[in-house]
Amino acid sequence: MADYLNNTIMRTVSFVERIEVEFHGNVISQAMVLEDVDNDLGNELIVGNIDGEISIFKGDSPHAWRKAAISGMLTCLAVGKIHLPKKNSLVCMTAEGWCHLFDVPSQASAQSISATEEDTDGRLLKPVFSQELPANAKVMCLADIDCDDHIEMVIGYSDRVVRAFRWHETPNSDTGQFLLLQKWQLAGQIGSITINYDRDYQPELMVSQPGATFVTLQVKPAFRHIKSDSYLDRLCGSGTNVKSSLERSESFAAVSSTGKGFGSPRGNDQKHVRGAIFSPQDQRTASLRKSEPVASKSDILSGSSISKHMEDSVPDASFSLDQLSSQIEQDLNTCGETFKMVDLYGLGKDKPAVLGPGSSELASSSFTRVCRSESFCDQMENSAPPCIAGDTGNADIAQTETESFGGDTNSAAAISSGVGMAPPRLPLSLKTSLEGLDGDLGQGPLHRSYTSDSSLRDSHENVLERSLGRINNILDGSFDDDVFKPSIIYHPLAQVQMRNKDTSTVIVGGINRGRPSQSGSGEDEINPRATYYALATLDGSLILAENDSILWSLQVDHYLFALSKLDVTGNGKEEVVCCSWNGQTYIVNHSKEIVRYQFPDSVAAFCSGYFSLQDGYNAPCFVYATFNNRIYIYPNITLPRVESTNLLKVMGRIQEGRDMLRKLNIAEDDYDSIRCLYRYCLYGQPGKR
Amino acid sequence: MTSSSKQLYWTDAHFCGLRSQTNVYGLTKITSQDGLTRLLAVSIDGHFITVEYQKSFDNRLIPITREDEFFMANVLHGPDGADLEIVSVDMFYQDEDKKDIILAVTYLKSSPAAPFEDKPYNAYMNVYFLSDQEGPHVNLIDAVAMSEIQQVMLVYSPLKLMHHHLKTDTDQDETCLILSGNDSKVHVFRQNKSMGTFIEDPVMATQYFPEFIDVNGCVTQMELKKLDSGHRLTAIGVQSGLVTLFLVNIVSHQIEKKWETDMDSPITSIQLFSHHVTSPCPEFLHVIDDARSENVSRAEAADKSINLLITSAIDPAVVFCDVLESDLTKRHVLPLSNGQDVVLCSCIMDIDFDGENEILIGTYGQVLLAYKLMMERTPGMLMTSTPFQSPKPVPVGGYSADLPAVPPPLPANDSEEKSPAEQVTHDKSDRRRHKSLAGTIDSNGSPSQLEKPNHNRFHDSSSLLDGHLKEGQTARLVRSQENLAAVSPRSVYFQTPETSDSFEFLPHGSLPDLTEYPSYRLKWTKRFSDPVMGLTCDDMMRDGMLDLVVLTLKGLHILQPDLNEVADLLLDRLKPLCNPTNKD
Repeated sequence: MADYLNNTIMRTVSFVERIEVEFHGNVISQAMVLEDVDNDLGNELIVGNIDGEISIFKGDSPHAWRKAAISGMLTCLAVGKIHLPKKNSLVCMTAEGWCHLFDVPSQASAQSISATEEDTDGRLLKPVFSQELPANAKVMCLADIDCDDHIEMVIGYSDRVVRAFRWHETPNSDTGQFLLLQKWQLAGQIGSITINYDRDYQPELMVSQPGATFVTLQVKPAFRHIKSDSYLDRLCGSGTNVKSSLERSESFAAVSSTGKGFGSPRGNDQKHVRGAIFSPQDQRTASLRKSEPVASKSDILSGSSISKHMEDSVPDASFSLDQLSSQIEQDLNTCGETFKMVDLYGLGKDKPAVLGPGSSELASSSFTRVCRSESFCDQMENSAPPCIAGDTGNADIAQTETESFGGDTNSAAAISSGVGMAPPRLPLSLKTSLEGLDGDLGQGPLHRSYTSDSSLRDSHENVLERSLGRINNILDGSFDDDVFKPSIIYHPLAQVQMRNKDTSTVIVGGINRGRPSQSGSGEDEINPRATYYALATLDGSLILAENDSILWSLQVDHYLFALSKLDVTGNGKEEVVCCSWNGQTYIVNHSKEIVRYQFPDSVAAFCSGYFSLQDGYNAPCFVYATFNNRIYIYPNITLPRVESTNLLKVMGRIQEGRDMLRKLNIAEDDYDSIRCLYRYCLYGQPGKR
Repeated sequence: MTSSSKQLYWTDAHFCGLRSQTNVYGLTKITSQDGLTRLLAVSIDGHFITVEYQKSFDNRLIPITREDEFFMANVLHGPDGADLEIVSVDMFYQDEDKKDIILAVTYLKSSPAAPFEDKPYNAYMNVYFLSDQEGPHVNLIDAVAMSEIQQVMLVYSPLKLMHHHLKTDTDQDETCLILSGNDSKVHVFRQNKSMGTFIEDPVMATQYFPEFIDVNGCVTQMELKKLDSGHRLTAIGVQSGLVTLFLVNIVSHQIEKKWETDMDSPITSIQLFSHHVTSPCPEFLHVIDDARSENVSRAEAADKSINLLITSAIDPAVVFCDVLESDLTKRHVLPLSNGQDVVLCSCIMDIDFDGENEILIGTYGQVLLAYKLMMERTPGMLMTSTPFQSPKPVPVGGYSADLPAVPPPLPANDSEEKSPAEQVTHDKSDRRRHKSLAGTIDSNGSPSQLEKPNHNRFHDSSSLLDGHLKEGQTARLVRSQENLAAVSPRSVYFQTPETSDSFEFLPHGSLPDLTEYPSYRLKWTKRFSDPVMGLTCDDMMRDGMLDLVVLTLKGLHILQPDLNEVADLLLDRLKPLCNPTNKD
């Protein structure tokens, strides 16, 4: 215990009932989930340690109900309907990049548990699927990020990348694989990924960034419409048309810039720039053009995912192929990044310098600029290694990269030369690009290896066209809105107030704010309300926000490291639950009323959720993992209310009660009389009736 | 009364931890003129906390917890690093006008050189005179720091410290301190009028407290209750288990009657109480004048009978009903009250608002047991400590839409759904004659006893017993007091010890249900994270309702029933008051 004296005005409670289970090894919060993994409607606790041992605890048993072991450093666990419709599966990610799927049967092998000799076999789960994905996974979120009724797997990496994957079922077989949907490169370390719902109840993908900030990641709308069988037709059909190729070029640009992510809030910035500099007519042009690329974007996307489908047609898609395809994808991504980088450099940086010296708006948004330059450097660093390491075996791809790189750099170069200011690092890339351009664009080896069609060549040409077009755009003073539509929106939120701008931050979204009224629940089903989101920083800030406005913020003296949401009171409003390293747990409701619980030990990992002790009845639950090989499950932490209150207040909220007081001629603020009355009613009256 | 069947769950309204362990004498409270109650709990190492509820600037009710340390300034002791152990504490208003507060603390002090057990120690009592110049809501912590201190050296080890208000022969009001010691005496300190200090006054003690003259052992607990203007009932419990009850005429200072009963173990608490709760009708309720007078007369009639509750360390708690009229003959054992380790404290409170007092018992086994006097056999409805989904809030999703339909997952479920057959066995457990057997079985204290009661119910009795004992051993929750600083991971438990099926293994049907009604029955249990050291009730929230205050070894809990339920009850009872015409 510390030396400070315990003077507080916060309500504290003490939870008593708990289940102690033994689990060895280091547990991190991302590897501890409370979900219904065996589809019996009752939630279980699934815990994994960094050595890859996974245990599932069910009910009040102090022993693991099921176990599993994977090789590698387990970093994230999640449960969701990821590959089977309406059936939860366990997803495990290792730092090495292996993704394992487990299906946990609830009863099938139940009898084998009792048998001792079968213990190891009966309880030990085997993964039903494994796939190697990019390494360094750190956090994971399973959610339907694009409203297509399929759960996507969004993984945040320790190298500041977020990738979204979707399960793609292999035709004519009962297996499938994860395909990369989209990738975002962020500027800061990723604390956590969450899903929030905006006013239209559309999901927003939120990723926390240091300093109580976060970014929202835009999901390419195109992916909502992908149909695996139509892409080729459309691609071929549109290939010949000059106009459509132009469209495609634009949409490719859109993909490359929106799809592969910036680390900067360039979108906002861009708007400022445009608003400050261009005339309203220009904006109109932009908005007019906006409609064009939407249709063609899906084509290009399917073009980029061509390799996947090539493999899909082969029934026994092996890992090497998977790997190859994902590598290609990655490399393609890298191209995108490179694009972006140059874009960023050429437009985001140069333009303000040239066009907006007097733009006060830009100056006012200084934080964004800082962030932008930062992200630029990041991208320079990040995109470089994959290019170089970019597969000695796949020189062709590397070359393609260079080409595309060059294509875009050219545009940037053109821009920079057009504006008469060369960025410091540009000459090198300019050279590359020129080489790339000089080379035969039409003979990209990639075409040969995949024999797909001329789409890539098209794209290369289009890159050129596009860059030319962009120059024209610049010269014309008009932009295609969609090209610069940001895929990452940075939300500084409370950054200004933060003491430490680099403090690690976690975010949780989708905090249910409860029903507006008791009546008309069916109505509410149709119109669910936007949800809140909360951020917690390691230096003790806890923030509840909605739509970029802070509802409340709280500063505590503890290192807050785990954040979650839980309806502790059962009133439909989800409280923010935050745990610190020393066990202090805060439960805060939407009106900033706080109740605390002091867990009597240091906490290695914390999660809250629902847990079932019996019969599928899920009760609110806290789980604390300690540093001494014990996990404590508090299986029912329901509180009647969060705030401290008394009978006067409760009765004061009841209309009937107020009416009665009026009948008895007692003023509502005559607390002494009310107190006497209540006391009489509770303790004096009963014998009479 | 519908309320009697209503189940009210009491849950934590507030909790504050203590820095170190406390003891059974470590809790005191004081209520100011306008109803603000403040609690003060001490830990034996000299830290103390005060808790009170106040309104914040935005009209929220906030629990204010403050912590400080006695002797921090070392005004009297100097920084000699002496080992201190607080024994008991008491706090009261000096005068009727409730202005100046007197806080008395007894403690032992020894030099740090030798191990604590081996060396001689000195006992002291410090009396803090907290002046109330800053208004009635003085901050106790500040007041203690700035108060005048009187130190009294004691030549005996102090035990129970309490105060008693009496009228002197010269018709003056006076509050004196009563302190029992290990010298088998009860010491009375009265305040010197001129100096203000407290001085032991043996002459006065013999005059005003004739029951203290001849005490047969170390007094661990005593209780003084003023019956009417002329009589006082005094119960004195000593370490050997002897309880002596005196009826004292406080005008003539004569002992009018004396009863004795002997328990087998040290007396841990004594309560003198009446069975019915009374509360005066507020003056402004003229509409029901006739009912009121009727009520008052009934209450007075009920009030005449005084019951005596005695809890001792090992034996089950015993209630002697109507001690004045029937001496100590009407004896009720609280069934299974010795099943959860040592009974440490007790409290009398109406927890279900039916006008009858329940008996609350706190045990070292971390359990609070509530007993209710049942006039006849009723379907069992033992409640447990499991918090519950409040049925009142707006339901969301599929759960908690309707509480009765979705019962809490834990023992409440089990106990509520008892079949009649189970109930019979429950009743059997109340037979007094099986006290020792009950003690044996119950002492396994198995928290998981009831985890799967319905599955085990008809299994072989002996195996069941074995299982119980085994589980009881592994799940035993008692920890050593010395080891409190270290966080010791505790066993799995989440079941309130429910004892109704302890007799399950007895051959069915061989023993008829011999329970004689009325008898006290276990009504409600609640488990705490630490041994329950003290219990009291007061209106902490200032809303007219009594809140339950539970002092555990490491913290202070304030418990509240679900206010939505109470509000419902209140509305029901307000209705006839508002519409006197359609009463009945």
